[in-house]
Amino acid sequence: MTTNKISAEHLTYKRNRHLILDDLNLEVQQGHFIGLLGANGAGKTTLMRLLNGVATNFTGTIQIGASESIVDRKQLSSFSESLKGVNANRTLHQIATDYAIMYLDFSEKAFENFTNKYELDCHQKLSALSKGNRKKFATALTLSRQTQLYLLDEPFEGIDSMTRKRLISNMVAWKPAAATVMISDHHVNDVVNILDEIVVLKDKHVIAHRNTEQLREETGMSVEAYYESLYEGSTTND
Amino acid sequence: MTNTWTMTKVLIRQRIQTVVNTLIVTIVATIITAILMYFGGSAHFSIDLFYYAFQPYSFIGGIYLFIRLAIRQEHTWVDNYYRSVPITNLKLYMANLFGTICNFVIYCLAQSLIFTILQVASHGIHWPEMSVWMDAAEGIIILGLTCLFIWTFVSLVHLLSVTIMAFLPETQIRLAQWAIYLVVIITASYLFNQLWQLFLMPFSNYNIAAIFGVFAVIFTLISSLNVYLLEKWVETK
Repeated sequence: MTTNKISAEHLTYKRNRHLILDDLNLEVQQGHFIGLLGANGAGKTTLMRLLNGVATNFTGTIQIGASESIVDRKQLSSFSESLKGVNANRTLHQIATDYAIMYLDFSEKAFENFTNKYELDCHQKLSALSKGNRKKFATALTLSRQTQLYLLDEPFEGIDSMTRKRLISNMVAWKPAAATVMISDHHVNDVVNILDEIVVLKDKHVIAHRNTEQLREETGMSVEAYYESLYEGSTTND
Repeated sequence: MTNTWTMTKVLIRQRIQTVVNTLIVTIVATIITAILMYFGGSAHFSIDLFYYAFQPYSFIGGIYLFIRLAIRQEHTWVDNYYRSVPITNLKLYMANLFGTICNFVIYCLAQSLIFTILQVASHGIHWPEMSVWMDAAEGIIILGLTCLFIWTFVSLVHLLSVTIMAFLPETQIRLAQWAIYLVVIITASYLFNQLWQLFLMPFSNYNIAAIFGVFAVIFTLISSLNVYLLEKWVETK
C-alpha cells in the first residue's frame, strides 16, 4: 500500500474522565523526522498510542495513508512502547524471535545490526538490562520493522549524552527515504539537528507545526528557543 | 497481518516454561515425599510410594497451573506487547484462549503419562471395560468444558471491570477496584446461572448432548461479549 501522509482530524481522547486531547488536528507528510514536543503530560505518548492503534476510545479520525483501520495502522506503524508487558525473564534473543514471528515485516538482519551498534548482548535477560539499555533494545526492535511510521517515545531516556549522539547518527544513517520517524524527547538540543519538522502539543491540541529550516529563517530563533517561547507561562496535563 | 495460528504459537511458546516448571515441581515433590515416607518408616520402598505420593501433587500442580495460565491470559488483553500486533481482536482472543488450552492439555497429557506408567508399574495392566472408557471420556470432556468456561468467564469479569474503571477518575480506581470485581462476578454469575437453568428446563433427565449444547451457547455469548469489549472499550495500560 502506498501512502503519502499521516493525519489526525478532530481527535479527542479522554481517559478516566480526564480530557487529554481535544479536537487535535495534525497532518504530516511521509519521509520526515518529526519532533513531537511538549511538557510532561501534554499528550505526546497518548498521541503516539492513538496513531499506533493501542488506544482506541477516541472520536475523530486517524489515517496512515489511505487506511483508518486499526489493524492496518498497527501494521503500518512501529511503536517503541510495544515492549511493555513482555516477560522480563526472557532473553533479548527470545523476545526478538517472538517479534520475528508476530510481525511479518520484522528484519532479523536489521535487528542484529542494531544490537551490534548498540552493544547489546542478546543472551542477556531483559530484567538484567539497565534503564538505558532497555531503551536501546526497544529502539532496536522498533526500527527493525520495515514499515512506514516509527513512533519513538523518549528513546534516549536514561542514556548518557555521548551514546545519545551516537544513536542519533545511527538513526540518520539507517532511515529509509520513505519512512516517517516521530520522536518525542525532552532533550530537544540533542535531536533538533535531525528534525525536519516539529509538532508542539499544548492545551490538549497542536499549537505549532513547523518545518525546522523555515522556522529558523522566518523567526531567526533556534528551535529550542522557539519551543520555549511557546511554553512561557503555562502548564498542562499525558 | 498476523494470523491466528502464528499468534497461538507465540503464546504457547511463552507459557510452556511455566508448564514445564510445574511438571518438574510435581515430580520432584513426589520423589521427596516418597523418600521421606520410606525413611520415616511408614512404608516399604516400592513403586506404590511414588504412585500414591504423585496424585495429590499432580492435582495441586494442575490447580496452580490453571490459575497461572488464567493470569497470563488476562495480561494479554492489557499489554502493549500483544495489543500492538497487527491482528484483529477476534483472532487475538481465539489465539489467546487456544494457547491457554494447549498449554493446559500438555500438562494434563504429561501427568496422565506419568500416572499411567506408575499405575502399570505398581498394579500391572488391567484393561477397563468399554463403559468405563466412555464414562472417563465424558468426564474428561465435561472437565475440559468447565475449564474453558471458567477461563472465558474470568476474562469477562476482567474486561468488564477494566471497562467500568475507565470511566472512573484515577483516584477512585484503587478504592473501587475490588468492589467492582465483586459486583461484576456476582452479577455475571447470577445471570449465567439463570441462563443455564433456562436452557436446561426442557430436559428433565441428565442429557449430555443438551449440556454440550447449552455450554456452546453460553461460551459463544461470553466470547462475543469479550471480543466486543476488547474491540470497543479495553485499552492497554
